[in-house]
Amino acid sequence: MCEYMKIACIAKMEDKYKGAFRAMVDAYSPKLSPRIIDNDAVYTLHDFEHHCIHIYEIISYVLFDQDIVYDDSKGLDQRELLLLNYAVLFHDISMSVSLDNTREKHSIKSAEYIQSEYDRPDSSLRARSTLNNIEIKALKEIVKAHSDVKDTSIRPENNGLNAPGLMEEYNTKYGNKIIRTKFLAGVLRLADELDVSVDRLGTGGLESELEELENKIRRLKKDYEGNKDQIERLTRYTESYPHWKRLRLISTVKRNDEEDDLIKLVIDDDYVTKCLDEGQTEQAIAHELIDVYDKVEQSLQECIKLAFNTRTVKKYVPVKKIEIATKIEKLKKEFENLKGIRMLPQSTDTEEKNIVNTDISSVQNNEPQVIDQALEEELCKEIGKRNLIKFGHFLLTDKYCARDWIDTQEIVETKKILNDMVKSVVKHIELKQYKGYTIVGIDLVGSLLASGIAFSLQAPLSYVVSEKNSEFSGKQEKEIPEELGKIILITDAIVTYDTVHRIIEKYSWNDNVGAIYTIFYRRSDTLDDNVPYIQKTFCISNRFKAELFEKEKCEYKKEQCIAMNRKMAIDFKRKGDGYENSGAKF
Amino acid sequence: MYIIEEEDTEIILMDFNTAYFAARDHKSKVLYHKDCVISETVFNELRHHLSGLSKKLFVIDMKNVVSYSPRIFSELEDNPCNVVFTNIEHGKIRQMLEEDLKARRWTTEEHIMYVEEHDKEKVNNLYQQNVRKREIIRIIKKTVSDKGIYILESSGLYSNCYVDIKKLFMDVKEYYYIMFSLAEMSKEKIDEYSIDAFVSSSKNGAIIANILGRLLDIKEIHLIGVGPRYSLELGNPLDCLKEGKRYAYVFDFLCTGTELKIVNALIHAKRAYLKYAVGVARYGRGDENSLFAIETLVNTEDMSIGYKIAGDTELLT
Repeated sequence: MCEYMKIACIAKMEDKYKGAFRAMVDAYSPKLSPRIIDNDAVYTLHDFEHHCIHIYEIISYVLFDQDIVYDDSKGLDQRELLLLNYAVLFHDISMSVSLDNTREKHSIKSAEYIQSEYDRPDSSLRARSTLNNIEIKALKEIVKAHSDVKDTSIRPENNGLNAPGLMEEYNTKYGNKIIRTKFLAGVLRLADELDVSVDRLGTGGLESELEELENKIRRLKKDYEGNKDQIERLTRYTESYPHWKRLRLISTVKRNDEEDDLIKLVIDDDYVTKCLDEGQTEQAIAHELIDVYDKVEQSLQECIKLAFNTRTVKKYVPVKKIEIATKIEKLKKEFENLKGIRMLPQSTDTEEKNIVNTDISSVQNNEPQVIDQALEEELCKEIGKRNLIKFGHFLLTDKYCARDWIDTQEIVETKKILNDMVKSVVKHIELKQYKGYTIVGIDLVGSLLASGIAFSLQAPLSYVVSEKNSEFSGKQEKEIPEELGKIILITDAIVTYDTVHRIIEKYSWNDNVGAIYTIFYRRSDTLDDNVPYIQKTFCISNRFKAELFEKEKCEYKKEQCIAMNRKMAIDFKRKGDGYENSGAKF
Repeated sequence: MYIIEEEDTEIILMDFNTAYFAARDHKSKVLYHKDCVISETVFNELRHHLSGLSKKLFVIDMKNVVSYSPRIFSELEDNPCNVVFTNIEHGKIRQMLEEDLKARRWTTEEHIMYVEEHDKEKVNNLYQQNVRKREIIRIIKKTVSDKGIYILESSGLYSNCYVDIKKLFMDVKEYYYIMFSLAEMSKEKIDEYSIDAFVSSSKNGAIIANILGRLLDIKEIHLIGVGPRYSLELGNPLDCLKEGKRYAYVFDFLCTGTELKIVNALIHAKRAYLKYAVGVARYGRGDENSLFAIETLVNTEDMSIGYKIAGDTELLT
């Protein structure tokens, strides 16, 4: 018998399914990619003899609780087991040399390959796999979900284990039982991620091949001219080399004998000792290890949360945590230090990297920091494109007028920009760990932004009316609930801080306001920078400086000011039997 | 979980709770969908809620549920709580539940699944009184102030009560429930009338329009200066209203409809159409004729608050 047939997850299949499985392996394993270097990148092995067999072993001896998962009444259905084993066989088939083997969408490509094979009447998959059409669909979803598709058009909430296809129902061919596709996808995904040991790398011959490539690049770089293209091409081969080298550090992956819920990444201490002798430090090696650990840990936690989370399937995969196992104490210590640092709340998402994690005490140039530079760029382009800055004469406060005005209402009425602003502010609030705050908007635009933020955060919401708009607002609009607690203020633009200051003073919110978010911070050279709230203020853009004029010194004179943003209020009061117009107020 | 409590019964609305937890987990894009698929996350919350020993009857309302993660409900088989499934609208769901819950002897009838006959009667009685609407009435009634005489600034009239929707936003789950109910109520009409944008005329209306716009992916326009105190900016050409577009007016509380009439006039002046109006509450029974459909979640008659309006304060004392 072939050795792989003895691996538990294959051996526990019924004989009729073992025959079908073996036929699939015979037909398709030769197609799996044996190559390491192709398409300008270095890949680890995706062939059957190394990668697939490792995954079967990981599933059987690291992940599964063998007493439960193969049980006739409580365990996986035989068809589910067969599908899982097929999924392992096919999951990386698109990395094969005969196909377009790009990593970014390989999970989708592998699923497409399955369908194309099934559609061929004379294919082995169609003739001998015993799968029906529904089970093929389930198999495709499992394969698709084993790796996130690197495509920005696919949202994270629809990718990988969140893919909508995993929520569809697929029934087994016999017994009409529902196939637990999400669980099976999670098992494959985690086992794939756990195949991180040196065995993934094949023979030592390939290591020397890559080292030779590096030497070649070094020689070519000395002789730069005329070899630029060649250097560029060869350099791409070695971009994956550091990843390849990291795997060299791990000799095996196994489940702890004493603690059933613990996976151990066993470090190759001999190889580490060799590296230390060659001049590397424990700290540098720990940095290499933490990258591998982080990926595996993240995958494990994701699977626990999304795929292993019902009472039944939880028992099939009892693992909850991962540790490294090494006898080199200093390496262990360095690793634990790094792990501790990485457990602090940090931005890892690409979008979050655009958000500046502002330390409140380090405001630069006495201005609030911009929380999302990419969004600021987008906003500035939009303002320019749509002429959202109006020039003229505008009322600002009872002391100042301004020469320009940004149409912030138009900005928040643009759905995409509003959604992006809400997203950025929400992310920033979460990064700063502001919990239990009421989100309070100032005037209409601040309230619109605040409502989106509060709704996203699932936080209480309120709004206040500034003094300058008080006359034009209803009585109940101006009232505020008694107990607002801790507050985050949201406003559209800050120039003099006069509006914000008056609100805080009016409601005695000095100790309540935790942060102030504004779309625009519009600094003016006219004013003093020393404002008490600046340390708590975050903005989306600080690029648009304001040109201010004191009303007393304004050319257009105080009483004859014809600012473009003046409002006309009309009051009607009943007098006797008829209405009396109390007159228009300016 | 969001629970509706009625004496010794707890009603768990699976469609609303699914939407609530989805909004919590996927902040960036929260869209309303009528069809509900119960995820394992939501089911875990439900299971956690049912895990304590309790003599209460738990009613799991499966309205709008079209699917759920396979076999999750089988984990309730060992649960000692008294559970009734109601509003089972889809045959597929009924079949799945029957398959999942084999241990106890469940009786399935049309839209309900129960173990004890008296539980079924209790649930039927509750649902005859429209449990969901009663919950909406309970929430909105909390916002009513009735300790004075209030001026309705749009119309210049007076009332003996004030429905202060601003208070609603301080309770997260309750305002989520109201917004979810609004989205559910208005979705069909919005699709039917091919609404291009929501229009609001007050700050409360603007907030409701903003959230509803997020849920239903509809643009919003806010006509500041129309209400409650009329104050337009000089020379405001109302460029935001476009010829030929179809608008829906969104409001918090509609009394005599002054603001609605002004907005309607402004929209018509721009040769556009006001096809529909939707809001949280209105004065009266809401069965008057109108040139366009007006829908609210509740009215003052439903709330039994004795709401009155008058042109003179003396008539209200």
